[in-house]
Amino acid sequence: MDAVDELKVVLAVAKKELKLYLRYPVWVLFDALMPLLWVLSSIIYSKALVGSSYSTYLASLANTGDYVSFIVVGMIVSSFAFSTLWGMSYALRGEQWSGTLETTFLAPCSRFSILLGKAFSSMLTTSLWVILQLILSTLVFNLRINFINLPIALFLLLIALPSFLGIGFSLAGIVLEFKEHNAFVNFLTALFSLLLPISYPLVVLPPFLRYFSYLLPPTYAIEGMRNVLILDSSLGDLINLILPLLFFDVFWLLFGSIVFLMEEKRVMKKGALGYY
Amino acid sequence: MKKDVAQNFILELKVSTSTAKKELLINFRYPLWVIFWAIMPVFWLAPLVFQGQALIGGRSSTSFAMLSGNSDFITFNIVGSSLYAYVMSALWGMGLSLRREQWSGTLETLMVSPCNKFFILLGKAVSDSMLTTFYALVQFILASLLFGAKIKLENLAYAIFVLLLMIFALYGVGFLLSGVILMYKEPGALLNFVNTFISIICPVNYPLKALVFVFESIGYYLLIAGLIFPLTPALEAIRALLLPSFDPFIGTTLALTYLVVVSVVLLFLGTFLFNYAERKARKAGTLGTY
Repeated sequence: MDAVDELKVVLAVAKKELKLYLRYPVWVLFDALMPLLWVLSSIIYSKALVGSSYSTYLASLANTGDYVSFIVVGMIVSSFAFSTLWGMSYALRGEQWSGTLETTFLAPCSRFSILLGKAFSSMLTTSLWVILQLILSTLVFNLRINFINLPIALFLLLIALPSFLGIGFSLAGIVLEFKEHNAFVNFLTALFSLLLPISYPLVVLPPFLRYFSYLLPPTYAIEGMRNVLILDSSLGDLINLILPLLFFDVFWLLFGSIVFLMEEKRVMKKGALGYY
Repeated sequence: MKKDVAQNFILELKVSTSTAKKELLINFRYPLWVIFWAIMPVFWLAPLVFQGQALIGGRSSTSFAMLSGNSDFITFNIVGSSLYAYVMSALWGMGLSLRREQWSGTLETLMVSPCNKFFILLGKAVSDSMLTTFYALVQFILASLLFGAKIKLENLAYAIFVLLLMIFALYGVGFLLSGVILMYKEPGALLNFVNTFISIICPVNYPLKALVFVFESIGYYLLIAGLIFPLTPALEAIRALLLPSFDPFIGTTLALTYLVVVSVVLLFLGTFLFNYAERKARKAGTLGTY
């Protein structure tokens, strides 16, 4: 299959996933509502602590005391990271639940095209919920971000996405081998929530935890997005964040692909693809 | 006649103890899950602590003190999230218990057993609360060691009494949910939503008055909705007993009276709905449908 055919596979898988997703409207509603409730809860908590909509202490740590914008931007980027974690880990497990994993693996195309198709569909839906989150946060909580810089923010997100996908590939491989993904991904989500600067700057974390934060690509994406959307930085100011992201893109894509291929080979050899 | 009733009751209680034993055995066959549920809540709590420290630069918030009398937001959160574990258990443990039997293909066998199904549910509820108590205790100890909790230990026995009342009330919530899930099957989205909504309207992470502080008039409606759920009066009473200088939104006596009343009402409603759902499912022949 050439590149165009593989691209068609990506689109076909994404289309199939979106169709399946829309067949469960309650889940769609839930996915739309939940990020809003999480933002809501975090903002009520912050306001109860600070007493106003501006934290001078946060300003001294992160150059902005506007915690609403700080939290919303953090949650938006992390939504994409979490959607990749859950989407990619569920991608093959879901096929296994439906009894279609073996058939899918028999298709004469790259497994990565299938994984990419699934990742794109979940990113598309995440983008929709993020837009909704942005609109409602602006209306209800007076979100003050620099909307003119949105194209730069989008560009930054695009730079970060390959690293997210690489993490997703390795996770898909691990799930292929160890099957049950819920506990593992739940643990990863909680660990990421702790290590990523979603609702606080990294400086408040104990130093030994901070080192782990710097190993995670979403850290740089969140910091970059905040700089662009809240502090009005230009793309040139972000070079110290873009370079590590590019490094992680290459690292995670390579590492993720190797892990997936190795696990796939091992599972095929053991004949355990169909095991539940 | 009286002897028969007593004997029957003892037999039914044996059903509960056997069910509880079976559930505990199954749970401990998955030690990783047990460790996961014991440790994970600390991972959920830690970001709240760091977020608070990033916003106010310490553990004492004057705004928190204005809203609840207590300025130490870390101890406030440790108590809140430890108690919230019981709500999670009522929703995901008791609520899902019959759905899990359905997943294992054992629901129909269970339903044809010659006993009152209420006692099966009771057994599941008891095992769930035993496990949750273990999780909440681990969480409380770990969080206290990591972040430091300042509580009045002399009132601990009273706090445990309030906790027991809340557990009874949550049994009712669990029975209610079991009935709903028996009728409507797949509960994932509903439980996730209810779970998050409860954490917003109940004072788990922030004082009850924060809802009014943030949302003004709409906040009053949310506050009233929060007060109805048994977690809120229990949290108010337990914090009043354990946290120095905590000023509860509702008095401890009122909270306790409400908990007693709501426990009876919810247990009655829960049992009634569960029996109704069981009868309906049997009649429609949908017990085994997935």
